[in-house]
Amino acid sequence: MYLTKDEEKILDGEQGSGFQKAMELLTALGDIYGAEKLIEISSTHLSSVAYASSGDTGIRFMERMVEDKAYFRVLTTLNPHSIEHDRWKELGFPEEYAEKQLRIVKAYKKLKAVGTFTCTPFLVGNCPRYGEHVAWAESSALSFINTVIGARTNREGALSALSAGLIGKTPLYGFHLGENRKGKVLVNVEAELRHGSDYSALGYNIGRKVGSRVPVFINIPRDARSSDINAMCAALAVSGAVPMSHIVGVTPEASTVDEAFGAERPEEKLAFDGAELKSTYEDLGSKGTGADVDLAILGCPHYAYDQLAEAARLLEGKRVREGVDLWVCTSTPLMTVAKRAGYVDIIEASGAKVVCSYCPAVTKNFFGWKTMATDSTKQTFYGQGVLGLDVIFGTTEQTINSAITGKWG
Amino acid sequence: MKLVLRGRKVAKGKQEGEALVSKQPISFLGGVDPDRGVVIDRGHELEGECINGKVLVFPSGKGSTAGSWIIMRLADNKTAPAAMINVETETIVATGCILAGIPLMDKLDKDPTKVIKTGDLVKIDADKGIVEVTKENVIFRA
Repeated sequence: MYLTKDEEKILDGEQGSGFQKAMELLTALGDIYGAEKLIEISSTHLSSVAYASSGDTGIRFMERMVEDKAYFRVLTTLNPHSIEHDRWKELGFPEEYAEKQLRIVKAYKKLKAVGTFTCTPFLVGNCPRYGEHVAWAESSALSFINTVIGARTNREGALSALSAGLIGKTPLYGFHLGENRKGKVLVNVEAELRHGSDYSALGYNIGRKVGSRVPVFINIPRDARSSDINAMCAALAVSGAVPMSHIVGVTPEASTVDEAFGAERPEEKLAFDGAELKSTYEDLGSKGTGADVDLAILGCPHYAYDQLAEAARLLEGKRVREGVDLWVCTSTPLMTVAKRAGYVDIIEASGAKVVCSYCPAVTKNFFGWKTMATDSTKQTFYGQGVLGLDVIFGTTEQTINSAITGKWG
Repeated sequence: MKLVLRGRKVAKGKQEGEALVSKQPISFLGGVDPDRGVVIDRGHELEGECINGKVLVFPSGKGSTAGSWIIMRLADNKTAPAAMINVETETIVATGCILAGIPLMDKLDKDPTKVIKTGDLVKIDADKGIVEVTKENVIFRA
């Protein structure tokens, strides 16, 4: 890969070992993927901010970056972490664990990252424009900005995104280049999608079939909310490794099917019908009928206003059953405004909690939970894998009802 | 018997160790215990094997990109392999090895998962792009 004189100097360590490591990583990745050069980016979004992901190594690594006087040269926002940022004591997170998490938080602040602690940074001030080159981790968010906005990012890992943020550049390959953004698999959505969770089910079902190939969706309802599409993007990146989809009529690069595929023909054609939708719910949820539920999670990805409003409507005047936690996950900025709108008070009057900066997928089970209900297929996957819970997937309304009754179905 | 292979440097450095070879890709997140340096992926052909101090030879990484952090934690815990050799590497393993300072090479002139056997002595000089393999049985005879 070609490096400018200034880039060579960083690689030689002229600006300290923090920037040097970052440049080493970017040039190595550029060589692996055949990039000709580095290009400037305008932002990064980082995952693995959680103590649960990086451990004590993460603390040492980040604090060493601070000592080396490294800092982020472009707007850098951060994913959720392992505790509720402001109310961890009240909610009972262990002090020792919280302190370790907060050390990582402090280091990121010194490196000039913005502590958004959310997987929906585009809702809280890190929103790239069409065609803008960025380097994002967090598989759901990067897929959303490729798909809905037409910004350009590869599927970065936490550390490659971190390095890109430190240098302000990323190797030019993959989804930064128009020819690699074309569709490969046509997906005809024949099922009627009525709930937010239906989109999560759609993404989970199709992700398994397409792997990392770019799907092109036709017949997605015109009234799909951004949050519905985000749920779909999140799921596609969990069961598959899809960094981008085309939704014909939504994706700026896909005003027609032909535009989405470019000059190529679809490699494969898939249909997602009512039976597929039903079987996805059954695979992830039916075994739960009658099961005791002690945890209900909404907000994967972090809930937007319309979803917080929906949760408030469903919970108004209701009471969450004793011994059940219903946590609605979102970011601090959205919570603050939703509180102003009255949603948060309604939700919390039921006994549920609006939990900020946190994600159950990047923490430990501190509360002895056994069975989770959720409206997200992504949370279903991580609830099983990370927290070791039995998890039941259903609609938002079913999830809330299970918290009210303490039983599924 | 000595075998010399040439390939591409991904992460710099010079190391040697006993080879531990797998024909299966490795998911570091969930597949390797960073405290003990042991493969814990159920059903993996290296399940239960300790990778600490070995030259780990495998096709490529797979799974979550958070796997890079596991490689860094292995290095930090002094439970990491001495070096790694991939058939063709990808972001997860490359990132982990570069930031952890573990020499990593790939694209050798022969498939390393076929010509290197577990127990062989492997010297890797990533900067020069050279891998020297001394077959296990020769060591025993000497």
